[in-house]
Amino acid sequence: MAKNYQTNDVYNEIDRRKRRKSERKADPRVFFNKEGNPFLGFMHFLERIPVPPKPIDEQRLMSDFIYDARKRRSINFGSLLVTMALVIIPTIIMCVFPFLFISRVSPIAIFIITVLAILIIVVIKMVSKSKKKQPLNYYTVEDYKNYVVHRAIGNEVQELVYEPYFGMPQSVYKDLGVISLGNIYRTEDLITGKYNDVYFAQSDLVVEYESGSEENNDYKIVTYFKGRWIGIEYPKKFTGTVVITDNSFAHSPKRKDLEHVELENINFNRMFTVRSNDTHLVYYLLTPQIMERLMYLRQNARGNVVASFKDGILHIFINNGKDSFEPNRYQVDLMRDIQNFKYDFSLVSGVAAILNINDNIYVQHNEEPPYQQPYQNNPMPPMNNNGF
Amino acid sequence: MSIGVYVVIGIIALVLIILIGWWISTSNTFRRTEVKINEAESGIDVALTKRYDTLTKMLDITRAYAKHEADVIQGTIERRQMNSMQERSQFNNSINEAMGRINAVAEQYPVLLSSQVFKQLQVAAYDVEEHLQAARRAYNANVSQYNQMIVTFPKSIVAGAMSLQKKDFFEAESAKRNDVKMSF
Repeated sequence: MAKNYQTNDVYNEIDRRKRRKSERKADPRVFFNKEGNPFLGFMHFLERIPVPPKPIDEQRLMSDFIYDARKRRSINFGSLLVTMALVIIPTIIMCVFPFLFISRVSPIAIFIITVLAILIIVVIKMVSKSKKKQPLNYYTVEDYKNYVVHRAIGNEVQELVYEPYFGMPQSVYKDLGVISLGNIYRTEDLITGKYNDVYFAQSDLVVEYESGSEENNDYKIVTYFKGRWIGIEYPKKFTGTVVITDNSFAHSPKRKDLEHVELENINFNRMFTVRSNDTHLVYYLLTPQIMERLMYLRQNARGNVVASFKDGILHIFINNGKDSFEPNRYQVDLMRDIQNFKYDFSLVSGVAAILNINDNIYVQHNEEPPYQQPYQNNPMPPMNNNGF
Repeated sequence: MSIGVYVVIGIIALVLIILIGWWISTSNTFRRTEVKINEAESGIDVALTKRYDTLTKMLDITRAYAKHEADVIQGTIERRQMNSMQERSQFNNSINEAMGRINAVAEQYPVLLSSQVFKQLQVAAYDVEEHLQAARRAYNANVSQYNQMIVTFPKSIVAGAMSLQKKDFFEAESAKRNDVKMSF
């Protein structure tokens, strides 16, 4: 049974495969809490056990990451050396041996010499590494991402939660029925919180369809969706479904249960197709202002936009082919990653502003719930003179 | 009869069948649009009734603080039979006016303005107003489609034969509607 997830709990995933299986079968409604942040209901299916929060030592986090980056670069350099050895050493042997009056060199001899040379390189590298005695990495890339998220938007987003392994639940995606179902479903980097009095969530999402096999030479993979899912708790209360599909998006299933609704805005109709089981609801939710702003989003998101109003939530899918939050692990730059993340987040904050629901009358500004501490596992240290 | 005559008869029959099919399909489109217009019209009626009820409740609350003003406002509006869109527009405008006046009265009575029930009614009034706008847009979109069909050739022939008339739009006076907007 679902337990009440608190924002200051810290969990450690124990069985991701089992969780994903139960996530696929679950009733989509259980993923949304009725009170507070509805998207925290996602956590019910994490199947995690509480662990003590990992305190963030910024110096160590950065040194771990810089060390990790160096290690990655050195691994790359090592593989480059080995590749070069594979090409250069046989060439040298072929060129030098005739001068040494050795007329015939067997290929086996060349192979053995080459392998020996590579082994010598590897051994030298290993010895030099062991001498450096570098400490083991304490912080993971998830810790780094968590830190970047909190540094970038921690001040403007209340009740901020970042879950690297979780995202839009598959059963919710299936239930929405706005994009075709594939047989590969990947989602990660869930971020949820309250921005300008509106609860939101976002995650990266990839849906693909894999068919055929390499043996039969008919293997192919079709990407149905790659981009970002954004969920916003809509202040207007409604039941029913409204689906807004980009006319240039090819992977939307045909919904026979919904009726096509033509709106009065000709440009909007050119850009989107609207379907619903309640015509009045379409006009209630899609006000002229919101239509204009959805068109603005379509023009600025650099990808197809598919949206759906369902059970009090506005779901927006932006198919821009991007993985929104992957720090460059070969060249660590905290400030650059923070800036990049802020830029990425502007899409979410922009949607909230674009839809003009922040200052809506339905949001009760004067009846705010008691202040809750933000996610406790990553207390934000004050900035020092180095910009960290 | 020669084959040529059969071919001509066949072509004429085919053209007639296509024409009859098109006629039936067009007249059905008109009927369907009329049903949609009627649905949207009833949506407007429901929203107007809800607006009137909300207004009456707001007046009841206001009466406890400003009896005379509330009675005066009450006198300006009355529940009436609405047969045409023009009557509906007029009724809606009178509600807009009354809403504006109630809010003006509430501004003079801070206790009334801060009353929880009054606040809830203001939110309800705003929500009903949104529903009315939705119903109005749905109605006008359907009427626009219907009127366009009536005046454009060749559908205008079918419309003429069916004695269909252009329908009135549901007009909203935006200036007065803005009076009802509230802020917390």
